[in-house]
Amino acid sequence: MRYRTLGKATCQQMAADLVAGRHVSVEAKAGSEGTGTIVDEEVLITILRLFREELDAIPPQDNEIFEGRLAAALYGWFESLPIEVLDDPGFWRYLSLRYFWWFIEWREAEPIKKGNFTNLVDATLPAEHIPLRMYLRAKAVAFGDDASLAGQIPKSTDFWRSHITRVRVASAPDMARAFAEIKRDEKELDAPLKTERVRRVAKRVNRMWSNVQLGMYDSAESKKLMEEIVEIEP
Amino acid sequence: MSLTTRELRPFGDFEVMDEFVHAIRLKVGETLIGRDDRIVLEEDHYRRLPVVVVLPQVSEGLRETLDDMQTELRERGLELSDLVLVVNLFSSYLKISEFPYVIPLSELAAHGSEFDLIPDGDRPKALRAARSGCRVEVAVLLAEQKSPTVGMPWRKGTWLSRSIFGLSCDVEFSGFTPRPMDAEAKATLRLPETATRFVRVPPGIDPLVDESSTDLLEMWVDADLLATLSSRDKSKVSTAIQKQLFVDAFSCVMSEVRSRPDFEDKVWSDVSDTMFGKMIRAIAGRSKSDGEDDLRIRCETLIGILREDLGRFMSHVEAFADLTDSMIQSLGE
Repeated sequence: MRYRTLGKATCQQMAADLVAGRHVSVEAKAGSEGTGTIVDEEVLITILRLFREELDAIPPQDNEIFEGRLAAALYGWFESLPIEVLDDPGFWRYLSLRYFWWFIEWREAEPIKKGNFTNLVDATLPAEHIPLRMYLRAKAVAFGDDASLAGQIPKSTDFWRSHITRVRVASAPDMARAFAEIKRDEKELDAPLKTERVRRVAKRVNRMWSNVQLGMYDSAESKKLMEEIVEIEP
Repeated sequence: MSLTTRELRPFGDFEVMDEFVHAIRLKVGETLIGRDDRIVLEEDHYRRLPVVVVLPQVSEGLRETLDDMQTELRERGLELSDLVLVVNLFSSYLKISEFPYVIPLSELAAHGSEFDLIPDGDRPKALRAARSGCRVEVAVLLAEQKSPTVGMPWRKGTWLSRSIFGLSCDVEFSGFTPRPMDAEAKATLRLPETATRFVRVPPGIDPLVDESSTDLLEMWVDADLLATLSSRDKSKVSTAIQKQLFVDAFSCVMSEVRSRPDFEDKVWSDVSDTMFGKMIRAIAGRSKSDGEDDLRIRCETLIGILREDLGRFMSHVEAFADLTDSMIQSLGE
């Protein structure tokens, strides 16, 4: 499959230009990789247009929910692409500047204002790059085609970034889903899963990876284990 | 006092099993690699070559070895049928994890001595993700949950013995790429106009967790100075300055690592694929006669030194960079 890419240095320079308010032409600078049919971007463009219209019309109350809903909506399109395309940071760099810049500017206004925008677009760090982290988040909790859980946890920036997409849990969907469901339904717990408690829980899960292959756990076993860990981390 | 931190199993070793599992090899094309070793491939080869897990040729035969394992396991209250041999493929960039083989240990003898990871040409995703590479883990795990017993493995998925192999297209650590810092960049970074260089681990990066390459580190150098260094990159002064920048970058990352509360708990296998691990591996060096165990011991020793004393650790970095000689030569230029 043929797809568009952007080099790292070019991407960083173009992002700096965009932040400075200068016009850039991503299409003119983008290269091409692969052979055969070109990646069909129509579905991506349509979904992004609908979400952008929604954002313009009614600013969301919770930015994280909005990002998660968008991640879930785009999941099917990302999954339709060959792994060789998704594995190429150049493809993610191209996407971030060609189609996602409006979203990045809105979602990460504060870091951009402080000059911390490189990681959001250069695809070196998957959990920081905006479109890629959205894909990883949806993939981590998807059940079949349904990744809606990605958009169901309010005020959850740190949860997704520090405890799911960045760590090995993201590679075990049953475990990631069990963790996210407990976080989503935290009102049912004896005490809510606030920042410090969720960190303790996540630390225990991550330490367990050292001795236990948690990817072997099915949905019911993952749920049981997560409930056990939450209970011993009051 | 030992400065090294070793990976200790909470329930001791299983000698017969360890001897068998640690002798498992990974065959990539025609090349056999051993436990804890990694192979660096061209992208095309990564996506094309056959990859096969090869069990050791045991002199007394696999069935007899499994019988010996059974005897060893029974002494600890376990049966061969409690365990599975699992092959896991993991690729970190896209968080891909696949299990092409999960075989009850009691049925292993019926499977032959080779496990083709690309059966019928159906290549797993992790072995197509050439840019991020793949970690192949072959482990003996507890197949089902057992009653918790002190000093015994009981939780499902607990590994009793394992061998890990790496496939990568990534070159090993080769230094840092400085970025030119002009007036605009200095203003954005909130630095003085006459700032010479600025090194930082960007916000949100954890060198102990993030597995991507060392160019995560931001090294900014005054644009004019960098241009001058580049134009005279073979001069003795330029070499000395470049080496000093290299040492500065290490100092920045190692200070960051020491400030992390979880650093104390980390062992080499936790961090070997991370940005921090790549830097440690680089200065640990490797001679042709070294095995992976030698390298691992040197890495563990360096991590121990870093825990104890940053200053002493940095002297190892300076020694690796051969900074003294460069400084003397530049003074005489």
